[in-house]
Amino acid sequence: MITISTPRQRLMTFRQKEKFQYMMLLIPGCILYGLFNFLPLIGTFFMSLISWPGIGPWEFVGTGNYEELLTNEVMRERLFKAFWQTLFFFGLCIGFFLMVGTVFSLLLSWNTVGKKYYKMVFFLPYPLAAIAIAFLGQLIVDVRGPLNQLLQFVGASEGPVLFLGDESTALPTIAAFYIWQKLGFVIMLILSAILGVRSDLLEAAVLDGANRWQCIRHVVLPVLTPAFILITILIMVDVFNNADLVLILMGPDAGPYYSTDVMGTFQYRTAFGSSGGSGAADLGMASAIGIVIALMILPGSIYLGLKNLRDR
Amino acid sequence: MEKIFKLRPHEQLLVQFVLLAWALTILLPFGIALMNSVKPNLGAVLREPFALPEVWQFSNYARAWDQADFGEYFLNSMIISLSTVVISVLLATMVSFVLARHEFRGKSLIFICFMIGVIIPSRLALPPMFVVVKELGLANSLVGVILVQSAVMLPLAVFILTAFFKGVSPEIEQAARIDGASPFQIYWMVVLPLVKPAIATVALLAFVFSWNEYILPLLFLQDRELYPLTLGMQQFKTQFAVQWHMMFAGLIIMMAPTVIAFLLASRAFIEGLTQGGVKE
Repeated sequence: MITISTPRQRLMTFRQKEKFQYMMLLIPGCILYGLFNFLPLIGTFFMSLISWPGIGPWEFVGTGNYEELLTNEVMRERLFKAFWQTLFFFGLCIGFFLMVGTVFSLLLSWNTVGKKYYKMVFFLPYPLAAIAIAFLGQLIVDVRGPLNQLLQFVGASEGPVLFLGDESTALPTIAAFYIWQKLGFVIMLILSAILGVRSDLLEAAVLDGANRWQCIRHVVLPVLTPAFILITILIMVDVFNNADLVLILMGPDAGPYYSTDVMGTFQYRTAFGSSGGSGAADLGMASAIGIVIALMILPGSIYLGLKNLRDR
Repeated sequence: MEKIFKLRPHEQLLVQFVLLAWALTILLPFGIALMNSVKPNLGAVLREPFALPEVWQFSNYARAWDQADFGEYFLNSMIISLSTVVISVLLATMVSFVLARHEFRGKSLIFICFMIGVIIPSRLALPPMFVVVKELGLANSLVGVILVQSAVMLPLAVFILTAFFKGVSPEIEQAARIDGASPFQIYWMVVLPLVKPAIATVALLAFVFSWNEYILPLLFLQDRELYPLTLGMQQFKTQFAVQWHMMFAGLIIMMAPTVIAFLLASRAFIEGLTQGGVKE
């Protein structure tokens, strides 16, 4: 067939070419994201409705996984233990972050000598890999390690402290590693919020005769509330879905005796089996746990997402 | 005003004391790692962990590097991280350019899909992700890890870039369009140079994220020859767990690139990672 192109048709083909090129720019990213990230996110819900060890036949169980999670004695106990321990971990971290982080940020907002270097040093551990933080920390707090030698030298403890080896201290020790790594990040957020307030509001307060403490208490701290909310949600989302430190240090079994088990390790162990290979892997149940975790952090992360969109 | 924010000398002293205490808490572990990484044996480490070594045995590093295949791990980490950076930057700029500048049906739907990826951590979707990678025959290959890590990075990258596009005036692009440039040409010759600052942030985030990632490679790689540094370090530990001086040397090797990069561009790191962390 012979086509004779009129000017009008040529215009159309230019438009079409433009449209085609736009689509070609859009599609690769959408396919990659869709296949490896979005599909799994959506698939988590559907997978939570089946029971499947990862190979062999699967079985549709509907809400069975959720029911088992809440009614089966063992599963429920594990779920709640993991939940409370995650909350405990989160509480330790966020308490330290907000209190100590605020104090350090205030100290860095004055004409403190060398604040540029302090900021650098405080932020230094943040870009490091979780595995480096974990192993470095593990050696430092080892029974025969530097920290225990220091503690005994100053006479703070009779015998060596077990830290990671003891049920009661293992999780707080890992929380300490987490704090050690992330405090610099928190300080940067609070500091930028403080620097955002300063001049005009504070000048007014000073003119009204406020002293330094009153300035902090009545001008700076109230303005920091949004930063505090932001940090709380960020850390909560991170702590509830990311269990790298525990996984690296304690393995999927979150020893000693599940005392460091958090939501992330609980899900990982359920999905891919325990380190000893004893527990039966169940991708369906693990997806159900994923959905439960998602429901816990969703209010916070949606709030963040909307806030980010509004700020744009 | 001045009086309130200027510290008096004795206050300055107190402030310095507090800040120095935390700075030491941060630096001491690094210092201990450095000092002990050149000691000859475990005994020397345990006897006096805070003392400088009597003999400086730098061969620990050579030994760690050789015996633990760090060279191979390094190469794998580099391949994974650089590919992730290139793929995620390229695709994210392409997607954001279209989403920010072109009107079409279904645009908001696509944007919302990407936002869901920002809101829900992909870590929760590991089981289906595992299945997808396995079904596509990409398990146990660097390609699989690279594609997954790029995909995980994409939503945040798209988010940062579309936000950045909002602040860039479209006039230059429009002028180019009137001159007859096609979207491909506009993207490659006009848009990419325009959004350089945002690309730098995204590239840094993608690099740090993929360099440090532990779970995804752990899940998708079985062969030791494919391990990146994070998995290599774990392997290294099974071999040298009781040889602390070697552990410290291995840790220093692992941390060195990040620390050096941080020291060279601390401003970019602090600003980029803080911004990226907030948007997550």
